[in-house]
Amino acid sequence: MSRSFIPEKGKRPVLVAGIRTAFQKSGTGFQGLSAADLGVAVMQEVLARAEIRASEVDEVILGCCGQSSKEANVARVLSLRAGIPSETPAYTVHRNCASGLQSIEDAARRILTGEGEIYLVGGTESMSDYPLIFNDGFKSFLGALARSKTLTARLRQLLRFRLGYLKPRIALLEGLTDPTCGLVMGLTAEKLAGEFAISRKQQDLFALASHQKAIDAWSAGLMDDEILTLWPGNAKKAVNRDNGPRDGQNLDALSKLRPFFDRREGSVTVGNACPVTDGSAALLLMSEEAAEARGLKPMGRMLCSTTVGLEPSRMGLGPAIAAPKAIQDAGLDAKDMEVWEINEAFSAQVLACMEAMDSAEFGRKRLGLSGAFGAPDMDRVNPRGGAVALGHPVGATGSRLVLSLLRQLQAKGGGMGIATLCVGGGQGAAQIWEAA
Amino acid sequence: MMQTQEDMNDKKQVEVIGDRCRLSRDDADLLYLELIPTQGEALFIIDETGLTALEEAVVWLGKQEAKGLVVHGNDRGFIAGADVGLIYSIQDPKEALAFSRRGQSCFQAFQDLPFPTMAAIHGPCLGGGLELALALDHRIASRHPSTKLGLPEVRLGILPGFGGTQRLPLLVGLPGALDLMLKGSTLDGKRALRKGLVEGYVPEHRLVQRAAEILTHPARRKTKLCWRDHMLTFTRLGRRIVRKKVEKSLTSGPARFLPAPGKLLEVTLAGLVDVGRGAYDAEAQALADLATGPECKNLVRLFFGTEQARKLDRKLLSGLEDKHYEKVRSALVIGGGVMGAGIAGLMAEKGLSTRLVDLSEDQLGQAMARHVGNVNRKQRRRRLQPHEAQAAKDRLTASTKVCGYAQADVFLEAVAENLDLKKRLFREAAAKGREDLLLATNTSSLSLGDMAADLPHPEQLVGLHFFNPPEKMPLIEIIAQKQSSPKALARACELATRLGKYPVLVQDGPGFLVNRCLAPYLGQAVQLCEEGVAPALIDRVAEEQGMPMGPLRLLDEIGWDVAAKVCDVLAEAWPARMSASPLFAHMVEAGLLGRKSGKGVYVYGTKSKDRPGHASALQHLIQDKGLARASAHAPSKLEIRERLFLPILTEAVRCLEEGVVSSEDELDFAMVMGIGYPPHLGGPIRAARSDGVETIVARLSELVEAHGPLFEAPRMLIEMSQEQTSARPQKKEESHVQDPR
Repeated sequence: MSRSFIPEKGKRPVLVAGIRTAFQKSGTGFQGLSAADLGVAVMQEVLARAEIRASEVDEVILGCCGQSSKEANVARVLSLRAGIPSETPAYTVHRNCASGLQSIEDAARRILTGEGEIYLVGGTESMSDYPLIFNDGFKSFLGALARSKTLTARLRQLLRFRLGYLKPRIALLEGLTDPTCGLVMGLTAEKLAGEFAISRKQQDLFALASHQKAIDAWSAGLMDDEILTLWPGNAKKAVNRDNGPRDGQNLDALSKLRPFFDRREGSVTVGNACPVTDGSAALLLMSEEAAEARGLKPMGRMLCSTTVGLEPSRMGLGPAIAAPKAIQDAGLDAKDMEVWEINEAFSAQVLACMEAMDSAEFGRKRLGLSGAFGAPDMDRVNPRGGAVALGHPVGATGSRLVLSLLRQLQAKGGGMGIATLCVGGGQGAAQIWEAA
Repeated sequence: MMQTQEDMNDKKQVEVIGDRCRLSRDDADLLYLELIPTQGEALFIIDETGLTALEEAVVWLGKQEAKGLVVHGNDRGFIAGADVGLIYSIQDPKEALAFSRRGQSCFQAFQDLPFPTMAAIHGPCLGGGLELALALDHRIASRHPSTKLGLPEVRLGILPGFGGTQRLPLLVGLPGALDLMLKGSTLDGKRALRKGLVEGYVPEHRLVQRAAEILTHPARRKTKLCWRDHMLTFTRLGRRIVRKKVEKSLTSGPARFLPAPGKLLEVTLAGLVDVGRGAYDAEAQALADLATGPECKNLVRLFFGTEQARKLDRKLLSGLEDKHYEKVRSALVIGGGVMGAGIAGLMAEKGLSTRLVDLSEDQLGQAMARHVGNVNRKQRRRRLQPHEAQAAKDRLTASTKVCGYAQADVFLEAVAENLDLKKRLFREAAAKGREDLLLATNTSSLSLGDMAADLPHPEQLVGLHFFNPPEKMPLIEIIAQKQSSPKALARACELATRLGKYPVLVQDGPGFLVNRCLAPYLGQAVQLCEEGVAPALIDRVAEEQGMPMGPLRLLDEIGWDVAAKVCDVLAEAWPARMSASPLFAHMVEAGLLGRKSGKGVYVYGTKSKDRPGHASALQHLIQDKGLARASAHAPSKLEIRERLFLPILTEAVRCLEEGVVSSEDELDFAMVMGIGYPPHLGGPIRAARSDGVETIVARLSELVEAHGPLFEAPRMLIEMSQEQTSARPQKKEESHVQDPR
């Protein structure tokens, strides 16, 4: 296992500005927009907010998991579309759910080595835009048709058509299925629910709390400045509010839902898992000197960033390993973490992480401790709601967590916090930030 | 791209005619005629020396034996057309006739050459240039975007006079030919290929080579007119159908005031009936008549105006040692109202990355919808490629946060007319933006001098006065306050040109130029209403004079509230002659704002295309409020015309007198582009000069008694009448601008 990335004091990269689009459940507010379409405005806005000229940006690094074939290296497409000069390079990172976090870490590393000072980072994801794909049978049928030269050969090939060819492959489903263990993500959550004895009711209660916290944060006006209003399509309608959180959500409604992944025996429903979502976030990461030279007041400093691996079928436990490792490697105390932003891929998975961190056996076996690491107080976890309510546009979520974390710490007047995610394919990622 | 001397080294130069034509022959026995630009110009222009060179070249060519001839230009273009300055200066119809005849017989000689001939067209090929290409056997065009073919003569009030009207219909059919010539539009290579005007559409670096290949390996296929075009061109019935349709279209729009379109139709049709030389003579005669007529001179003068407007930035910098300035690439626009939104959208479409700020998200949403709608419409009409349309949309961002100064090259405010607010915005911009941030205001009623008063860099403040709607109106007033630097003004002019507009430089003062001259015209229309003249009659008189719409329709379009504000400003500055009728206030009070409220002088349907209906609200209001004025007699049409148009003249002359605008030419140009003054009349001062200034001054002295000081003849106008230099145009120095004949 690799060591954590810990910039030394005085050289810690700072985040000076961040903004995101509202998160919209797939097929709703952002239907028809590609990943690049979603990111253009936020990227320009974050530069404007920080009064940075587009030509001052050293590189653009964005997370995106479901890159569309029409936007290969979507970070570059976006960079050009947002008016960043063509001389400025750009690349896309893909560490599944942690892509948005990875883009920050990549930039931080480059700032530390002195490669550059100003990085435009973040993530963008349009899960509405994930395609349906011709299946292999149809693909070879079309290939053979194209190779047939004569009319008779063509006709003969046409006669080989089977109705089954029309059954598409669903990119979204394939993307959410682990090819090595064969489990779709929901089933990895089911597995953890079983192993850690997380009941359906516990999950539903957790989901309900997530919705309530998100609604509370919105109605308290805490979210407005985090969001940039977009006018998608023909610009008839403004999109400026997350549409995942439900005001009237209640336990009754949640408990009526059928398990989605394991229809007979499962406990994970669409109500206590995160919805498939579109969204984009842009952050501006700079060296402390560069920020100072421009008179910019940073939002926060990065203290530590870490990524761990574990078995793919238990990928949901990633935060339970990554967060303790980051805190320990940075020489900090878990109690110093005022806010824990743990991504809620599934309610079962977050609850399993809490159980694991409280488990002495888990601490000994997986963390090399003498006992339990100790889970954070629930009131420090996702105080403004999590992905179960807000949604999880895979490539962008990591950036949203850091943005939200720092805005919460700023509201508290300072302190440290941690953003952590489980990562499909069996990884966990965590970053510790300190408000500036 | 096609400097044939370099890239085809097997070609030997054999003859140079003057310094305008270079002739050479290659090993395959093909001849090449390269057209060399006029001294100091980018392109070949058919002026005296150009035509002489072509004549000598064709005489020489006639003596050669060869497999073929390729005519080509340089890497900038083929032929820009005839010398517009020459057209402007010709006064004698005989001289014009002789010039046309010379051109015709020269091109005929090209057509009669015993070997196959080919025009290899890259860049502009306009007017006389296309007529030469038409006289050759074949034409191919390059794929470069600068390649454009057309016969835009009609835009200058004349017609193609070197055989173009005769040859074009044979090639592309009568309907296509008339369409191209009457609109005066240009085609790029691809469209020219589709129309049948050229036979090939070739990458520019292979153009001459490809031309040679086609000549040595004769065409495999011959382009033929489609059945429909054939019938419409070569049968009597077909031509009658076309004629009826075109004649009808010429009875509306600006064409009805111009003699050229009608003559063009006549001459073109004559060519299809009379296969001999007679129709060529008719063409030459028509050209001679048109080129010496006043409409042509007025339109050419306006054409010079467009050229001058394009060069305005360079003119402003001419006195400076350091002429360098950064072009404006990105904009910060504050205020998302009708004007701000339109301006921001226009800027984004024309390549500026633009940030629009307004405190109201609803306003921003409307601005975005308008921009997206405009761009999508252009994409549907193929004016924008899909990737260009996307970029145009990407370039406009909207936000409620006032920031983004660092990125901006220009800071433009289009907020409510509140001096303190504007001053605050500019101070903040000056503090947060870069040192050379151009500060621009779109105010139409406040003084720029006041705004600049306590700025750290007052020299950066200029006015960019757009007209509504900014996407469509062709003029921008560039307002100079006392401290504006020439560089800031030049940057603003260059920006205006890049936005596809004509800049005119105007000194700061109430109403600036266009509104100041427009207001008395509108004011008189209202006064005439008060005297009991029917609104429809007033509008009809103005439209018959050639205005795009009558003054009362225009008031409805502008909005009575907006007009009232402008009138107030002017009334404050010149209470004696500009005092506004109380009717403006009453109209606003009654909610009769014009099109935007659905009702003003006229009633409007829900769609912008709906024709306005009649409403009697205005007359009722006049009765109710007791505004009706006694008038000795019902004014005649002539009187109505004088009442409407003479105030434009007197106010315009006062502007000239006060130095608000620097020259007569600029003034007339601004009036045509800004208020739609009939172009064929050339502008208020030009019209006055041709009507006779003396008679106008005399008439004004009669009107001033009845209708007040607005009709007082300004000092400068009296001087003009005394000069009594004839209204005849004089050729200007910089008139070496060229384009279509």
